[in-house]
Amino acid sequence: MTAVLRRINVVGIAAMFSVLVLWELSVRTGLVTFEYIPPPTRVVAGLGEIISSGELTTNLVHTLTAAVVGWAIACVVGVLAGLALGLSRATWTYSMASVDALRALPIVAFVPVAVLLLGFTMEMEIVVAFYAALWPIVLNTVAGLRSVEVRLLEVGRVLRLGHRGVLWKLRLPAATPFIIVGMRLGLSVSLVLTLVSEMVGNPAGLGFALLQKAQSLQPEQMFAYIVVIGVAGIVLNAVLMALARLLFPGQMAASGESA
Amino acid sequence: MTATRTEPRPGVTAASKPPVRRRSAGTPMRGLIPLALVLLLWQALGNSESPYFPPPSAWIRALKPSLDDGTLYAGLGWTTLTVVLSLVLATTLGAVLGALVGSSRRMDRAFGPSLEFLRVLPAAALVPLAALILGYTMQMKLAVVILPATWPVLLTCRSARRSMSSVLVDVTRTLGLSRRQRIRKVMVPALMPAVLLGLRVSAPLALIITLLVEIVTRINGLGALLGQAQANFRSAQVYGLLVIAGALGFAVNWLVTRAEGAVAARMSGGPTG
Repeated sequence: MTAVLRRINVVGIAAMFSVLVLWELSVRTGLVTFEYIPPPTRVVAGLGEIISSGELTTNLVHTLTAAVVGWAIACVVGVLAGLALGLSRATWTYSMASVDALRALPIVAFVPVAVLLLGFTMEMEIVVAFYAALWPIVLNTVAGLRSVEVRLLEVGRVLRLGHRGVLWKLRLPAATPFIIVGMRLGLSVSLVLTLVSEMVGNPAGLGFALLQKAQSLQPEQMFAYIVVIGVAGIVLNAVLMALARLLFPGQMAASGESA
Repeated sequence: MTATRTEPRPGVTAASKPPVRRRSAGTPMRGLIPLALVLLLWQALGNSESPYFPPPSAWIRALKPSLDDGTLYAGLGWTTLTVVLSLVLATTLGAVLGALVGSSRRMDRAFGPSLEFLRVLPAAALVPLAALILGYTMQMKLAVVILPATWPVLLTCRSARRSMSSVLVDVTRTLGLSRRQRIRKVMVPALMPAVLLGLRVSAPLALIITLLVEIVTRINGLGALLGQAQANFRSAQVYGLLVIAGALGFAVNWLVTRAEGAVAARMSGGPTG
């Protein structure tokens, strides 16, 4: 019981809460006179408004669908590409520099290109989310496959595991924590880039809602959206980690990610 | 000396949780062949009138006017200025706050959750907010870029300070060093690798956020040019600007890596020299 209590960071939650109270008080007493900063209670009211009007659900579903679909495609393509680059020395030699060069392009700069090619559509958002999530996944898969200890591979040779045995029993399990890290990074990047593509291109979803609330001067609803976006990112990450622990308990524990 | 430059120092890799470090120096240039082939094929087979896929030579032609009247240089200048200024401010802020928060267990526990929440908040979500509060100004741009660029430095610095051996802190007391000396002779050298590691994550992030703010708000810079070109359906110009943004990203990465190498070399030679 006390162990559970100790794991909940009471001090941390109290600090967060006191910041909110301080914010509320300073706005109420007129200490902070920024015109467009509503106190937390008004933000909660704004959250209630967007929930009851149903727009939050529509926008949230739209954005999350685009981000997660793009990310899922990136997971498949990224891991396959990472396997090709990480397992074959020749492929790596003759294409890794291209991957590095493409990766150096700032991802946001791709949003205008995607808008140009695909217009203001959901597909555009998915393509942007896919592209954003692809690079961390590819790079981490390659890094994971290359991180396998030489001694482990020697053990595999002693046990006469063969190519497939080495891949399935040694290299992939060793690379799993790396791949999960890549997927986590990819998920948060694809969420951000989906928001951006909604701000710049497709007028739908959370990104567009943010702009709309700013332009129609409804800061409390905008703050509510910002909070929702932050929480959505945390929840997505937590779901992914829970799934990873469920599917690969051994590997995650070995990398110190079990708790 | 040169060997220590390319090898990550043990303390540095321990601080970075996802060990995505590659042997970038070892990536052979032959690997550029596929990219070059694609561009060549694009040039050979592409139709220069195509509204979607103009070939590379059209990109250069499309950029010529903005090169001649200097708008491209101005845009590059603004973007670079924003990135550099916000990186300097974010690194200072992140290092000081990280060292403070990491110096006491209680502080760390108290501010940890708030910092984590602010860190995961997507920077993109803050652009409309900052535009509303600060208006379409340079200050707004800086504020939006500084906030996300601070976290990597702050978090690495915090964990480095937390894992710093307490003997190191006690020694300064035994030697009777003043507060200033303690910071200059022990804290700064001990935390420098972590700060630089954070900076390596922050630098590309700062560039991305800067471009993002410029694309969304159309305040002067490379991103604003990109946004305008896209809105006017000048596809060749969009591709050209994309390449320039990539070159800028490459330059930023190169500079930060070089700076890190230089400092690491100097510090590893520090105690003897």
